[in-house]
Amino acid sequence: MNKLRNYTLTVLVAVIALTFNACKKDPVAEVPEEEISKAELTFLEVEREAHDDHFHYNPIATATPLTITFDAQGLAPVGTHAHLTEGKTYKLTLKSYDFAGREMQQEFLDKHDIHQAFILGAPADVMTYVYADRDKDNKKVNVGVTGYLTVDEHTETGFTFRYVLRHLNPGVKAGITAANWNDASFATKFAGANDLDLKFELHPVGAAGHAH
Amino acid sequence: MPGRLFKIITIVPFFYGGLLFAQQVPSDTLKLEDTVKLEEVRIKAKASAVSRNSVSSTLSQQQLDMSRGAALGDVLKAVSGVNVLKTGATISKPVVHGLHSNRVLILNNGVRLEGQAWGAEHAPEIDPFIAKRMHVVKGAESVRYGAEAIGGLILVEPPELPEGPEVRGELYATAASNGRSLATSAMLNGGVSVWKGFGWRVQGTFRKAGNARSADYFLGNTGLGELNYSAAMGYKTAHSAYEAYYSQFSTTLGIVYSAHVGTREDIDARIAAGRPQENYGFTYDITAPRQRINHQLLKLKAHYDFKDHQSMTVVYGLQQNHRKEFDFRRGDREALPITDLVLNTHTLDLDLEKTLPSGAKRTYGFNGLLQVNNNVPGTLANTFIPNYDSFTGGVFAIQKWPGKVFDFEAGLRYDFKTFDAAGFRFLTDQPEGASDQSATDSNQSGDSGAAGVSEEYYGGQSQFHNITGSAGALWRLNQSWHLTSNIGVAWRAPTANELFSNGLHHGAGLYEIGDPSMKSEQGYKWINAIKHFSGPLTFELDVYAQLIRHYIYSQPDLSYRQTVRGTYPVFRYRQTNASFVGADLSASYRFLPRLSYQVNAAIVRARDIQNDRYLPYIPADRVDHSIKLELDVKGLQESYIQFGHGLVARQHRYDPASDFAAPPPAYHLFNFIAGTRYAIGSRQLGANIGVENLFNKSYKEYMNRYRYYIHDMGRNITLRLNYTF
Repeated sequence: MNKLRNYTLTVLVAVIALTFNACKKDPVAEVPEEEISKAELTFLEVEREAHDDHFHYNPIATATPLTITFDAQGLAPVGTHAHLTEGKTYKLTLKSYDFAGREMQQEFLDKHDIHQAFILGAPADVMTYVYADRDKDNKKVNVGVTGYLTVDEHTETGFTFRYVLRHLNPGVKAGITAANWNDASFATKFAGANDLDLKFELHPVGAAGHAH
Repeated sequence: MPGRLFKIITIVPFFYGGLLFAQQVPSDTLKLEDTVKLEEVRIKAKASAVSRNSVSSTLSQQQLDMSRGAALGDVLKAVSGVNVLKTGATISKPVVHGLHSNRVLILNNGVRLEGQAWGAEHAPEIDPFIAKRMHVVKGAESVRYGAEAIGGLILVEPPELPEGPEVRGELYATAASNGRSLATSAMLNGGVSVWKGFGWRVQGTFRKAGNARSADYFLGNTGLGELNYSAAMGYKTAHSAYEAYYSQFSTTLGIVYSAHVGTREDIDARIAAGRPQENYGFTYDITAPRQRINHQLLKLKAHYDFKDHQSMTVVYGLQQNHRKEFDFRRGDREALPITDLVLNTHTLDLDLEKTLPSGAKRTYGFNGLLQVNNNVPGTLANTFIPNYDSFTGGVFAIQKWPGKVFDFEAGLRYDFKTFDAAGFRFLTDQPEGASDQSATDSNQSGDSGAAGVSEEYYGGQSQFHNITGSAGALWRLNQSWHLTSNIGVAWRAPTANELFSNGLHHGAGLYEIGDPSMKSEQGYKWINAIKHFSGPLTFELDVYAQLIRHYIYSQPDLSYRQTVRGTYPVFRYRQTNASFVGADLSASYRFLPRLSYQVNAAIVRARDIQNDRYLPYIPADRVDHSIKLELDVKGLQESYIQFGHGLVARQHRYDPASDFAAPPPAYHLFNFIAGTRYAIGSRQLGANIGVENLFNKSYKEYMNRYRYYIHDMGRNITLRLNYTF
C-alpha cells in the first residue's frame, strides 16, 4: 500500500512539475492610451463677421495665441490668471496628449457621437460659445475640440473657467444641442463620465485694458 | 464500526435469501441444482459531503428545480442567512453571514473555485444546472478546506456517476419574461455494458437574456449570454474509485450603461435624479462596458480503500480562469479589453482516512495550491493587479468521535503561503510629500515624454503562516431536539488588489490605494444551531458570533486625488478588527396535511471595532415566508401552489463617510410559484411557473452596488420545464 501511495504521489508531482507553466511573466510596459497626460487650451483672437444668420471667423495676422497648459492632474500652473478682452472673439482649441506624449484629441472627433465639451464657470451673459467641429461630410458635430468664444462683457474679478470634455453614454448626445454648451446641470442631464475637467482663472477685461 | 457493519450487511442478504428460498420450495428435498447463488451485496456508506458537527443547510434537487435558470448567488438565497451582493441586474455573489468574495469558499465538485473572486462585480463561475445538491456550511471551515472559508463554505455537488449501463438523462428548459431570457440544459449519463463499474456523464447549458427591466424602465446593456458544458467519467471497483471531470464555463455579460459615471459630481447628480435620465429599449445586444469570462476546470480523483479500515483520496485539479473586461474607449480601442487576466491554478488534495478500533475516525491531509496570474499584454491600459505566482501548502489532522448521543470533532491545521508579484503601470505624479506605496521593490521614475507622468514597477514578495483549528459537537438531546456547536479559526491572505491597487476604480468613482504590507486575516467563529423536528413543527435557529482580526476593507481616507478627469475621493485598504454577530431562523409548520407555512429570517450585526464604525455592504434584516398548498390532482404528483412574501428592512447601520447615499427604504416583495410532476412510466416531466416581484414594485436594494443609478428588477414570470428519463 505504501508503495502504491508513494508511486502515485511521485507520478502526480512529476506531472505537475512538467506541465506547470512555471512562473509569472515579466510585466510589460503598456502605454495606457485612455489616459491623458497633458492638455492645452489655446485662445487665438479672430475677427467675427456677421453673415446672414451666422458668423464667419476670419484670422487676424498679428494675433498671438494664449496657451494654458494643464498637467497630468488637470492643473494649470500655479498663479495662472488669463485675460481676454471684451468684445473680441477667440478661437478656442484643445490639444490633448497621451502618456507617450502623442496628440490624441482627434479621437474625440472620431467618436463625436459620444463626446461633447461644456464651458462653464462664467457669470451670465459674459461669454458666448459656438462649436466649430465638423465631420468629413462637413456636418456640425458639436464636440468642442475647436470652437469660437466671444467675450460679451468684462468682469470685475476673475472666475474659474471650466472646460469639461464629457464621454457620454450611448444615445445621450441625441438629447443635447449646441445651446447646452454652458449647461451647469450637465452631470444630471447628460449621463456619462468626464474625459477632461480643466479649470483655470479667467478674467475678461474692458476694451481699454486694465492694470492689476 | 465500519468493519463489523460491512460484515453484517453482506451476510444479511444471504440470510434473507435463504429464508425466502426456504419458503418458496414446497418439496421437502433441496436439490443442489435448485440452489441459487446470490450475488454478494456490498453496501458502502458514502461519506456525507458535510460533517454533522458543522452547521449547514442543503438545497435538494426539488428546491433547486424551483430556481433553475437563475445564477448561483440567486439560487443560494433560499438558504436562511445567505444573501446576495449584486452589481446591477446581471451579477450576483453569495453573501454568507455578511461575508462574501474571498471570505466564502466555493467548492466546485470538490475543487476550490479559483477565479478573480476579489472583485465585488466578479460572479462565481459555476453553472447551477450541474448541481444535484448544494450545501452551505456556515462556520469557519479552514481546517478541512484551507484558506478563505471564513464566513462559510458553499459546496456544489454534481450527481453521482452511474454504474449501470442504461443511458439516462435530464432536460431543462426555462423561459423568463424579465430579460426575455431562455436557459436550456441537458444531461446524459450512463455506463458501458461490457465494462462494469464504469460510468460517464455529459452535460451542457445555454443561457441567453436581453435587457432586464426594473419596474418602470429597461436597464440598458444588461444582456447575458452563457455557454457551459462538462463531461465526467468514473470507474469503480470493489476497493477503489477513479473519476475524471472536465468543465467549461463561459459567459458574456453587459454592465448597465447608467452605471457609467465619473466623479462624485456625476454620482450625486444620478442620486438626486433617482433613476436614469436616458431611455433604453429592449435588445439582446451586449456592447461595452461588458465582461467576458471563460473558466475551465479539470479534475482527476482517485480513491483507494485499504485493509484496516484505511482509505486514501487524491484529487488533482487544474483550472484556468480567463477574464476580460471591456469599457467605453476612444479610438478603435473599444474592442480591446481594459483588463485581460489569465489565472492558472493547480491544486492537489490528499487525504488519508483511518477508522480507529474505538470507532473514532481520523483524517490526515495535505492541500497544495500553485497559482500563476498573468496580465495579457495588448490592452493599452494600466494593469489593475500585478502578475503574480503563489504557492499555498497546508497540512491538517481531524478526528471525529461519533456516538449515540454526542458526536464530537476536533481539527488542527498549518498553512504556508508565498506570494510573489510584479506589475507595471504609468502614474500621474503623486502630490508632493505624499508616499502611497509604503513598500515597493523598485520605484523608478522615467521620462516618458510627458510631464507629470512616471513609470512604476510595483510588486513584492510576501509570506504568510497560519495555524487554524476547529472543534464541533452535536448533541442529540432526544428524538426531536438536536444542538450543534462549532468553533473554528479560519484565515485568508490579502488579495492582489488589496495589496497593490493604485488607481481609479472605474464605475465606483473612487481612487483606491492598497497596502503591500498587510497581514493575513484571521476569523474566529462560534456558531450554535438548535434544531427541532417533531410533528408539524420543524425549525433551526443558528446563532453566531465572529471576530475577524486584521479584517481588510477599503475605507475613505478623507483626502482627494486630483486627475485630469476631475477629483476623486481616496479610499485606502486598511486592516482593522471586525465583529460579526447574527442569527438565522428557518422554520416550517404544517397546519393541515396539505397546508404548510415556511419562514426564513436573518439578521447580521457587524462592526469595525477598532475605528468604532459600521462596515459597508452588510445585509439588512430580512424575513421571507410563504404558504404552500399541496394539491392532489388526478394523474399528477407533487402538485403545489405557493404564495410568498419577503420584507427587507432599511439598513440603518452604515457609515455615511463610506457611502454616497443613505440606504434605500424598506420594501416588500410578493411572489408566487405553482408546480407539478407527471410520470410516464419511469420518466418524469416536471413543470413550474413562478412570478417574482408579483406586483412589479419599484425598489432599490442596499446590497446592489448600482442602486445609486438604477432600481432593482421588476416583475419576472418564469416557466420551467424538466424532463427526466
